[in-house]
Amino acid sequence: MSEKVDISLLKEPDWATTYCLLPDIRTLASSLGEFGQMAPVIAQQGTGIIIDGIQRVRLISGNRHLNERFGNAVEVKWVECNDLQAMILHVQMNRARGNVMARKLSKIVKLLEFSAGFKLADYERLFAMTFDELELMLDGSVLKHRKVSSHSYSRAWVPVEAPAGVVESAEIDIERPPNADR
Amino acid sequence: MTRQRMFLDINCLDAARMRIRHVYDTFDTVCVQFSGGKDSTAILYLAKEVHEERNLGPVKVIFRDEEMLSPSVVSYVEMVRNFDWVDMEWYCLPYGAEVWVLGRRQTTVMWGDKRRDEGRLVREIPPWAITAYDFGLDHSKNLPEPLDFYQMQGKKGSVAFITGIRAAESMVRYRSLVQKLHENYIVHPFGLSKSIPLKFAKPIYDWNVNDVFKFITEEHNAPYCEYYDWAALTGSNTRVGIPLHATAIRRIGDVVATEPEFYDRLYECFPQIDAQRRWWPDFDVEKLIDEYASDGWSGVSEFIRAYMIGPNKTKRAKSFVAEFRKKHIADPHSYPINYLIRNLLLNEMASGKSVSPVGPRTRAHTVRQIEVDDYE
Repeated sequence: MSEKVDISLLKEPDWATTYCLLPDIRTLASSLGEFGQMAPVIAQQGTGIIIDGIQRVRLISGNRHLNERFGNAVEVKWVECNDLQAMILHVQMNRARGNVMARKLSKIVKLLEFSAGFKLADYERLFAMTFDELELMLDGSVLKHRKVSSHSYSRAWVPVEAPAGVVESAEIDIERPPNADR
Repeated sequence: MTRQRMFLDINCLDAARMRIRHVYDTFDTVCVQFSGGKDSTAILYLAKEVHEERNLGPVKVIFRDEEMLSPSVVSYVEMVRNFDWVDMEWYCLPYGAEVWVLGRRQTTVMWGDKRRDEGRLVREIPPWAITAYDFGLDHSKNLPEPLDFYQMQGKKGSVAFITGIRAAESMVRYRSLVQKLHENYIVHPFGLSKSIPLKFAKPIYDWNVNDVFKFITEEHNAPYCEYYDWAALTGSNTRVGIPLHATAIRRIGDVVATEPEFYDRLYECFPQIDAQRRWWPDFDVEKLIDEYASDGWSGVSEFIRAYMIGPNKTKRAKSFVAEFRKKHIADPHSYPINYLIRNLLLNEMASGKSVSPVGPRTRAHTVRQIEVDDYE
């Protein structure tokens, strides 16, 4: 069950992994203005920390027209959970939507690893996170990712005239981005 | 003449140290051309080694601020600027930059007065920057001379700008580094008058990405721009630089994944880029090329009308087409019209850049083979 709650009782968490782009925020504002709140904000019982719905609350509290329309209050569904559970629920809800920022998720994963002693099986069960992804989230550095410490410097070269028949494009490995254009 | 690489019995780090010492031995003034990226960071620390060996004082550094830089790059460059062993000249000069959205090309003036007055500069010009006003010019239009001309001012004698350009970055760069056989890594800047005594030196031309990171972190235990860790986390490209030109904007999703706040600021200044973010993965380049190419030269004219925004882009495209047309008349199979549309749509149209004939493994080349086979 949800209830109408004054926005001043809700708080944005400092660990939120989501970021809503400006054009999407504008679309959300338009939708809120036209159709109202279609689903309740999810918040932690007792603290008022928002688990889901941060952008909606931010818009309604920051936009005068929306604030007047909503009377500075939103529908909230309270969840009884501790801080770590709140983070887990937040990641679960947003990972499914595909709008989690990797560097912020990395911070939460590190926190879960060091403060709650989570194992690979826990990440698999909670987030469907594989070993490779977990390793990346825990390290979070290009050096580990590229295995720089085990790399030996390449051999130097100079250009020379090639004998007839050498195909130029076969001469060198051009560095490419790790995935297709996006 | 085709070139190939001859490998030497030393590693690329030792070779780069020899090359950079040679540059310092040869030129009166040596400056590091710094971008905030990993490659120019490696160059910076190679130069630092020489300055310490020879007691040369602070390393002279030139930073060309291209306005549309991400916050992580700006903050890294500011940190480097404040190193006591760095003497940085920070340039914010007006010149043309491209905004490419789903094939439509538009030019904007970096640090231009018009966008400043409209509140659409991506960032404010830092107070310490050297601007066109310092040369008695303004920011209403592109500078009349190449940028190197301005950055050369006040430098004594023969000058070398050392850069982090590497052959492995692209075939164009590879080719530029194997053209000369003697001192292949020291070249005169393209488009700059031969009377100006400036050379570019590229001492790490034979390094790969891992060589770069190993040198920065293990030889110098030095910091690098935070962007690279975010790129590793998100599977993004390891290149920093302006994100809106024809090649870079195809990976605008990297900006969203790594620094979404930066994307928002770009969107505020150039709202049209959001179409690129939303629709590029579904954009059918081949269909578009076929549609215009099937109408021959009138299709080319129609393409220019629809996709080149503003007089500068239109003029440049028309001159590109005129050059291409001569080649097409002489050899239509090597210079087919669909290849022209592809170039207009996707490739750089730098002035003075000539078009190469279609190469193996391209669609146009396959069509050529079929036509030649049919003829025979």
